[in-house]
Amino acid sequence: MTSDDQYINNIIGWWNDITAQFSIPSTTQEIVALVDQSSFQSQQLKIDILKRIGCDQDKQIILEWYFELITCFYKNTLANDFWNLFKGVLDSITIDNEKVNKKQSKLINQQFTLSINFIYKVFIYFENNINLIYNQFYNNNNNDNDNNDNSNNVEYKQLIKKLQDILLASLTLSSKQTNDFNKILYIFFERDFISFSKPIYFKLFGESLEDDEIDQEENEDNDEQVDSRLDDSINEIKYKENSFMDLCQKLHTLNFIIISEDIFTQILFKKIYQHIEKICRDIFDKRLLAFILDCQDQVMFKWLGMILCHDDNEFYANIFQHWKTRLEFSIYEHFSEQRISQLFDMIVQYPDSIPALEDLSVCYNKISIQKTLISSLIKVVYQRLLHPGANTNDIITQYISTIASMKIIDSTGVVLEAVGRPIRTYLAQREDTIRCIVTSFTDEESEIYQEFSNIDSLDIIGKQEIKDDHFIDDNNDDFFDEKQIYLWKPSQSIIENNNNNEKNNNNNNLFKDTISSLVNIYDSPELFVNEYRNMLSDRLLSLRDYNLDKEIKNVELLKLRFGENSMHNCEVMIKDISDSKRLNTQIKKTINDTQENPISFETLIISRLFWPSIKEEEFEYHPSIREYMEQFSKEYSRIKAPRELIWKKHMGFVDLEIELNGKTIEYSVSPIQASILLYFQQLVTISIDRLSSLLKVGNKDIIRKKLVFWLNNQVIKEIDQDQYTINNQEFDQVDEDDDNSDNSEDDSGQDEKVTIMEEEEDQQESASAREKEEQMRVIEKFIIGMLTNFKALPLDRMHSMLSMFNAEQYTSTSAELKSFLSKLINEEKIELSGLNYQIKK
Amino acid sequence: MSQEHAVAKRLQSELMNLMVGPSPGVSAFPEGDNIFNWVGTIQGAPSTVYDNLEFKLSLKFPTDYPFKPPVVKFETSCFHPNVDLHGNICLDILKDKWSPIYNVRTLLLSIQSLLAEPNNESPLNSYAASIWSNQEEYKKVLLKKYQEATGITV
Repeated sequence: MTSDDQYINNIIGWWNDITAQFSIPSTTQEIVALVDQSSFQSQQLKIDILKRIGCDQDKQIILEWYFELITCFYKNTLANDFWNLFKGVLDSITIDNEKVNKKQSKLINQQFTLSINFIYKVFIYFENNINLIYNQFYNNNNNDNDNNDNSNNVEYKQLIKKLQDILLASLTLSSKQTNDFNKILYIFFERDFISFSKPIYFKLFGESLEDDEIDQEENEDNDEQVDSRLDDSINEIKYKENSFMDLCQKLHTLNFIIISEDIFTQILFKKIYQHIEKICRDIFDKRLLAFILDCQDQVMFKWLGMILCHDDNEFYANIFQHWKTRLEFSIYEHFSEQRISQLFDMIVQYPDSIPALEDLSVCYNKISIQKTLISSLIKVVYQRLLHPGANTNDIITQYISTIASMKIIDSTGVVLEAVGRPIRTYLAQREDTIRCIVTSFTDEESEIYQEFSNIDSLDIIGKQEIKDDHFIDDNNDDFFDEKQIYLWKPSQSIIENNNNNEKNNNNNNLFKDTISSLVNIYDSPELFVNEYRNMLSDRLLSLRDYNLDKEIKNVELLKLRFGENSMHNCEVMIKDISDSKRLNTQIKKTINDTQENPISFETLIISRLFWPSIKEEEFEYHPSIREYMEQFSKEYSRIKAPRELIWKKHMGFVDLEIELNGKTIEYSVSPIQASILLYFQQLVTISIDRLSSLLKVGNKDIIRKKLVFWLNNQVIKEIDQDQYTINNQEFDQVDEDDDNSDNSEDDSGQDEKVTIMEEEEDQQESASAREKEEQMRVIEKFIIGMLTNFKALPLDRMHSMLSMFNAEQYTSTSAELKSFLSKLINEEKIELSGLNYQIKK
Repeated sequence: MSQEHAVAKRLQSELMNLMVGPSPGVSAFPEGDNIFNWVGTIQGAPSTVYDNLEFKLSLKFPTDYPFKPPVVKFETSCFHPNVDLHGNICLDILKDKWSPIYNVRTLLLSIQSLLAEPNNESPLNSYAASIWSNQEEYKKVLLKKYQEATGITV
């Protein structure tokens, strides 16, 4: 035998010893049993033999060979044992599916706990062996107590890491297994999170945030009443926490925690979203953000802490911090997302929703949500507000609430500017906007009126704008305060900034008060003043007493807002009314002195130049009234020479008392209707033609229309084509049977009093429409003038010329001009040849 | 600048007056986008030889209008003792007799009346002045010239 042979024999001998010593039990159970033995920790492999291996290379070979053995065991035995536990359970489950069958999840949970337990034991077993081998190889002086010293050794750590990696790799050989493994982790952690968070949420809210299925399930398990479960819950929680932490500890050892990170993320984000949805949806009257942060702190971070901070490991503490920041951010994100999705409703419910808006404001300042907020709100505003179905008043109310709400969220006004603009633009298009706003100014019950009449809150923009130059008023300290100039910061906006200084002022004004922000819908406050004038005119003309207190108060308030000069016309109008009262008394005295007059006749004398244009409608009064009117005129000219009265005959109203068939009925009608009836009183039967010549009204349709009122009231009847007479008969039988008529309620012959104010359709044509018509008449003249001088012009040329040379009155769009031109073509004033318009020859 | 603005304002209000209360036979409107250049239209007054004839004019306003008169020329060739072949008009109020109280309307009306009542003392078109006394022949020549200039036969 050579020495070489001797060497080989030696090696073979060692090898046999080693393989005998290191033989791995063939089943998982055996290993588990070994580990479970109380003597396991102190057990020593008889591996003195290893000490005989001196060469590093050989040591390496031995270790690799041993890892090979372990890998084989993992792959062939352990993995099978593991997956056998989940056979058939996982196939039907997908994580995306919100609902995992509770039974399945419970099963998986149990199996997973079980499997982790034995995997852990197997792992410990191998770890221990590796530890021993390592000690034999590299720590010759060791004794039993030094075993753990290896844990700080880098080389040893790598070995353990390798052991962990092999384990994970063996368990998830195929991609399906990887998938399944993630599923298991997901279901396990989610279930644990739910059962962990539930009692805490229960304590916080007094209700469960999760579905009740688990409750039921646990009730079945424990067969307990809900109340007693609550009492026991603290012990139960403790127990659960401990076992969970124990399990997590094992997962750490197996290095499964790190790979589960994605899974926590999914679960926690999902839970955050669900909880925020559940807590916040439709609740706007409470501050919730701090509460949510607080309870996530109590639940999520605690849970996460249980998983991650198993010991004072710095690595995990760092990760935990990292996680905490991430989760907090995610809470802000989800929270603001949820709030933004309901922002429109929050605005609708303003001011009840102020707490919710304040919460959103916190988010707004913390994370960048400006863009989302603006675009989402604008989208909803278009969808829900700015459509033809919405009432103008509602839009205005919503606009006011929007201003107030955005003020809370973003004090710089950037958001408001972006969101307010489409609403303003839309409102400016609506014809009745001004009227609605002015009405709300002066409606004593509206909120705006409160603000309107509260002079303290008044700012100076109105005055300033009316002045129409950029004269700086000494009083405007708060606008031009030096400090403010230095404090000015550019708005950090995605929106184009208005470098126009005046615009910026307007921005600030938007914040100042509601009324100015409403006035700012339009470029100039003149429109409002005009509209108010029209309204005032309507109101004053329908006034039956001379009670002007309210109107005077309103005008005074408007003066404060829009400046002294702008209300000049309105003041004159009101003065006209009170002057009329005096003059009436004075003139009546003179007339009554000279003549006995049966009619009570009041005249409103208005100064034409200061009133809005009043529609003309010519007709002649009945001579008996005419006579009186002439007297009045004469007397007026005498007193007020050289002024003269021009009668607006169709204005005003007449109170009539009609005695017919033994009944007396009172009517309040227009002068022309009264005149018609006076003629009937005189002539009994009249034809339309006759009425037309008596009233000096050429258009018989107008007379017919007026007659309809009397026909309907059965004062007059038609006896023949266009022949009418007084209805002397009793009211129609039909009517008397019909109880719905007020007139026929009792037949006792008692005088009935009915006051019917006839509604004149023509009146509905508002003053502003009349003004528009007048404007278009001027435009027509311009068009004719243009075409006279230029022979033929295309539409756009005319549009631009009108915009340029008659900017004050010409406000139409080119489409409106086109339809107006078509109207002129129909009236045969102009004609269209090709693309050019020209005068019709 | 401010003066120009004031002039533009004055012209604007003259335009408004002219449009709202038009005078028969005369009209004018700014040309293009410049309010200082206008196009005018004058129709010959009824029962004169110029009856039924329509003439275009150009009005160019100086920046110191109305203290200086506008430059007015016939754009449609006009056979008239006081109008030369280039359309220049010999009219005292367009020159030394101009006064700020005149405006576009009065100016156009003056030119309209000048058509029927020429000043034959200082003619720019001596041929026209020479045949003015014979109204029938004058009208014949006038219509021929008008037809040559505009292509419109009256």
